[in-house]
Amino acid sequence: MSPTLMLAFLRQRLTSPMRLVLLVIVFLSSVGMNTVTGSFAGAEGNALFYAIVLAAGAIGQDISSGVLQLMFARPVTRPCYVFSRWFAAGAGGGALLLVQMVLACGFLLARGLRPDFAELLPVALAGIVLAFTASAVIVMLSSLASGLGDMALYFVATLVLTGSGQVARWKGWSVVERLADELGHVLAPQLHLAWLAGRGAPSWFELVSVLSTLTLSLAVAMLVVNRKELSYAAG
Amino acid sequence: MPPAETRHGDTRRDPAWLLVAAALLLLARVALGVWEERHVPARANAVHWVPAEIAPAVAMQTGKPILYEFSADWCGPCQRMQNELFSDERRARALETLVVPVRVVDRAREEGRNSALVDSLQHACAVEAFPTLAVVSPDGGRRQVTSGFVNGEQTLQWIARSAMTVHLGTAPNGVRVR
Repeated sequence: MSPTLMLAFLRQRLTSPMRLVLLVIVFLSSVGMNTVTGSFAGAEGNALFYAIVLAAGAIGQDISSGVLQLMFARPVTRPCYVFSRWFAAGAGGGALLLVQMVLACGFLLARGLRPDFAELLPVALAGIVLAFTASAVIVMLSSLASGLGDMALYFVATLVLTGSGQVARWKGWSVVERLADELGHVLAPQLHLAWLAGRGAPSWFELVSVLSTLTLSLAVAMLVVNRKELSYAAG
Repeated sequence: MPPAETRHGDTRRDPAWLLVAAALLLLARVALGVWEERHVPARANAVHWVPAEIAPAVAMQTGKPILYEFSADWCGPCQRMQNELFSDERRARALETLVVPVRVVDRAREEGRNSALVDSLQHACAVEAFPTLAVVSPDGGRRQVTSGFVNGEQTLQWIARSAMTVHLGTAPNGVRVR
C-alpha cells in the first residue's frame, strides 16, 4: 500500500466536479434525514454510495488516459497500485459516513434529542465494511473496462440480475432466483450488524459473503491488472 | 518514454495470500449459505408490534386495518418473512403506514397449548399453516387472509392491496368482500 498513491487518488476524486456534486447532495440530504427522523437505520447504505462514487473509474480512467504506463515506470508494483486505489476509495467512503453520522448526532443533540447510541456502532461498522466491499467491486469492474466503463458494467449487470431474478421468481426457478440474488448481493452487498447491540441473531453467511466478495473482487482486479499489456504498442 | 516492461524489474506480483483467502472465504460462503438456508437466523425487528389486546382500539382510532401475523418460532418461512419484511427498515415503515401490525406467535408445540386470545384469533382467521397473514378492517367486519411466504416485496404488495380492499369493502376485481 502506498500512502502517496492513496492521497493523490483521493485528491483527484475530490476535485472532480461531478463526483463532488453527487457526494454533497447525498451527504447533506442524509444528514438532514438522520436529523429529522432521529434514526440512523439504513445509513450504512450511504457508505456504499460514497465508495462507488469515489471508486468509479479508479483503474479504467488511468488506462484510457495512458497514466497507467507512466505509473508503473516508477517502483510501484501492480498489486500495490490496485490495493492503494481500493483502500483510498473504501476509506474515503467510510470516512464520509462517519462525518455524516457525527454531524447528524450534533444536530440532534442541539435539538435536545438524544441519538440512539446503541444503534450507531452497528450502523457505522457495517457502513465501513460495505464501503470497502463496494470499493473492491468497483475497482474490479474498473480493471475490466476503460474510462467509466465500470459504471456501465455495474448498471447493466444490476438490470440483468434484477430482471432475471424477477423472471425466475415468476417461473418458480428457485436455483436461478437464488443465483441472481447472490450475484445481486455482490453488486449491492448488505450487512446487518444490529446483533452487536444485542438485537437479533448474527448471520455468519452475510458476514462471510461480504468478506468473500471483497477478497474475490480484489484478487480478480489484481490478476487482471497483472495481465494487462501496457506498452504503447499494445493499444 | 516509459521503459518497456521486462521480467527484470517487473511490476507484476500475483497476490497468493489473497487468492488463498478468497478461495477459503468462497468455500465458507457456499457452506454457510447451505447451512443458513435450513437454519435461518432471526434478524433484529424493525416493526413496532402492537399488543393484540389493544390493537382493535388503535385501529378504530387511526382508521387503519389490523395486520395479524400468525407465526411460530420453529417455522422456517416465518423466519425468512421476518428477515425480508419485518427486519427491513424501509418495508417496515411502509407497513406501519398501512396497517396496525399485531404479531400472534403460536406456542402449542413448545408449551402444549396457546393462550385463549391466540386461540380465538387463530380460529377467527381460520389459521391452518404458518405463516398466515390476515388483514382485518378496524370494525372486524371484513378480512383478507393468505398463507405462506414468497418474498418480502410481494408480501408487502399483498398487504397494501388487502388494506385497500378491506377499507373499500371491494376487491380490485370489483367483488365485494366480507
